[in-house]
Amino acid sequence: MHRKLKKGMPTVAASMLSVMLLVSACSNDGGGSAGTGETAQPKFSASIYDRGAVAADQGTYEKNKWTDWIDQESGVDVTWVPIPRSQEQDKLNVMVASGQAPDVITSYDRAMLARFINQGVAQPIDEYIEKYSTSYKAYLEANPELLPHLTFDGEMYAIASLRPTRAQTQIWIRQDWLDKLNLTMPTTVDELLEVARAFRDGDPDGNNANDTTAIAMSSAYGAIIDDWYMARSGEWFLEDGEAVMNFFTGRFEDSLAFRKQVYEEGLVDKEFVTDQNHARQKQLWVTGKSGIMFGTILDGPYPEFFENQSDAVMVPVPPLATKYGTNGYQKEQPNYLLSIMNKDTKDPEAIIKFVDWMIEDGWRPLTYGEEGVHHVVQDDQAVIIDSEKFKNEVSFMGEYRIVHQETMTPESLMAAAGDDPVQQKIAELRGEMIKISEATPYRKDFPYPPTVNEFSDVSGQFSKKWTEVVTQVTMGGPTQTPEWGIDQLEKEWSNLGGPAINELVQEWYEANKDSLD
Amino acid sequence: MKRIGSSLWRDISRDKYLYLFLMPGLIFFVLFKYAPLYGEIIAFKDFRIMDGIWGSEWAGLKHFDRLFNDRDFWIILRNTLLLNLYSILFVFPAPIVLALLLNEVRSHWFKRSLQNMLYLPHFISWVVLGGVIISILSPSTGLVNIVLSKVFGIEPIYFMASPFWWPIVFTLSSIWQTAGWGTILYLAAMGNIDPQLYEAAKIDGASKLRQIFHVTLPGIRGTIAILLILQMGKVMDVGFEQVFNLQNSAVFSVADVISTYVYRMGLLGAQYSYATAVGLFQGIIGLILVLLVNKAIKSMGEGGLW
Repeated sequence: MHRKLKKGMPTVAASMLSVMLLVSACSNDGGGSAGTGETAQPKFSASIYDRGAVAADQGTYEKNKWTDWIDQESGVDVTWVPIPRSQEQDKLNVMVASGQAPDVITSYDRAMLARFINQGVAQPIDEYIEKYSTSYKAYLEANPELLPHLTFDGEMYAIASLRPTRAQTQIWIRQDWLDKLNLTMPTTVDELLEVARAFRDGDPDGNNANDTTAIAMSSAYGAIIDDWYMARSGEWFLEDGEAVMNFFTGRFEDSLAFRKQVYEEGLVDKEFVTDQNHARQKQLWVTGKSGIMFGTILDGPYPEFFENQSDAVMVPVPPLATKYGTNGYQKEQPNYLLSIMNKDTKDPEAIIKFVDWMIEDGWRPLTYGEEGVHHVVQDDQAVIIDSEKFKNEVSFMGEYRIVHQETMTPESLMAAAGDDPVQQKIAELRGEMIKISEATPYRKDFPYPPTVNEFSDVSGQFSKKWTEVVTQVTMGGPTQTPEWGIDQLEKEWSNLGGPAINELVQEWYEANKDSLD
Repeated sequence: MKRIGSSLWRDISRDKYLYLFLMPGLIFFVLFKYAPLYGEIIAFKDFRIMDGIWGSEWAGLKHFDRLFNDRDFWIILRNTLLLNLYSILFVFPAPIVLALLLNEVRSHWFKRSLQNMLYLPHFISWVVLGGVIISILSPSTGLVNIVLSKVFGIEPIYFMASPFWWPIVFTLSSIWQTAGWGTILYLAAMGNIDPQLYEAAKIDGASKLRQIFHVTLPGIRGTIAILLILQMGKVMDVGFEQVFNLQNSAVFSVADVISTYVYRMGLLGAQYSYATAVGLFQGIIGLILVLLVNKAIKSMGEGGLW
């Protein structure tokens, strides 16, 4: 047996060895320089959110018609590194920890970026902007309200531009159901409860079946309730000059009580805990099985809603009053994405030049597509020609805008909607919502989470705890009261070293008071 | 010493081409299984990304200290061990029973198609299976509750949100997903049993059941023992995907296990050192259990792993 095998073996082994050598040789000079022909251009790599929105015939997030266009127009070769939107923390943590982070890391999560900066991953950029930038420098001077959000430990680390709109959460209601049951638009939380009960019992869809779930949820459900009572979960508040977590302001108990009440009265879907991506909830809303949507600027005015039910009328609910007064709907932080620069970046100048190009010219085609193909310009507003084509070929490109100057106003939304009746309805609703959002102030005592390491270390663990306790109180019946919940939360918080963290956050607040307004 | 060394060298030089064939496998293990062990030292350090693995400050047993003093950790450890206990009691025997049944099926095409259908769940990811399980167990629209209320008049049960039912659902779903695939090894082992044994048993007048107990089962004893040892090594480990896709905030108290804890602390919370300490602790317990069970099984007269 051995003898026979041995004859052919040297050649086999030799060829195997050479294959292995070849493979290793290839991987050595790899380094992602696929387009070797155009090496003259400066280059860098940047992370980008992958929302799975690039249609197959358009290419991929790494390479498509528009990335080629970006490379050509900006004069910089950008290697895009897609990060799945729902997994940014684990993906980026792994990349950073293994030294494979891209030159530019872009995210909405300021706390995560603060941790990277604290770990020494990024470098300050003041100097580079001073030296290389013209357009972005001018933009920053014109919008100084961005500065505190870009500053970490007293130095500027991040690049950002303003959000198109700061409006975020919104309750939507079926105006046609209100009219049918002779109800008026609720102005307080108690009135909202009355309306919800009427929806549950009054058969507003007229199908003679007791099958209406009054309230549908989205990811903003808890946030909206917390905000009524000025006690957004996981955030810090200033109570008489003292930094306190929302759970311990005394007001959070009301938020728990509301959740428990609507659950017990059957005003919400009893199966919400297993509906983690809110697909069931969306289904309830777009099929007319539910009359109130605790939604956002995106969740509520779905195209399916109007396509399924042509006679349904949806309107935004103005901010509701509680015994603590009226708090507005959530306003997002003024900054759009935050981008930080890797400390090992070879060519900071290329990055700054790219940002300059983006804020000056690049963002416009990336927002509205090609003029004449995807939009036409009327009265300085881009008007979308074909919303289906736009959705397919343009909408994903927004991700490439590290910075931009898009602003969303009721007028620009209407203009952008074009001729599509469904899109027009959606634009109109979002426009109304933006007006509502701007009209009432929203209480946010800390513009961003305290950058205290001891707090960031436990915040993930605590967040799981409070999610658990909130669920227990909501579903737990008579023994698990809101007071019991607050008690639990206090215990869990002190288990995690809460009292010491409270002090550290207070110190941080005292030290940074001036830059926090 | 010298003699052993020289004989090993003689072995290598005689079979050098066979050893060359072994190389890719060896390189794989060294590169991807042994070399990463170096990273385990961050469990004893305060890992900072920019200082690197070696450059970070030593922290002694600080992370283990925190681990053993964390009230949560004991709950998580308890959940992990309980779920694995159910798994050894109920999930482990399931493929054996299934393989015995399949082994008795005489019609070839029926056996084949049955096997194919049983293998199917193994190839479906937990993301999909999780969705399927949640919807068939839904109290309002799920098949199971509709049957329960229509046929038996029982009030709908919210299985997925009940700390009592959840571990049962978890265990049953494991059986559903793995039992079919698990039969492969047992069926192969049964194929190796000498047919003469069955003939002899038949001549002695043994019924089918007797044959199973006295021929088939003893015939696959060795396979069962080895699989049991391997299973014990995993006793500190509950597959992340399954738990993650089935759990929700109403059942954290029974559904939070070490793998989800490590994911939360290490990957989401970026507490690399602490998560490594948890993983190391888990690995060491697993190793000890494998050694103990291996020893026990060897003393019962089976071959064991080594």
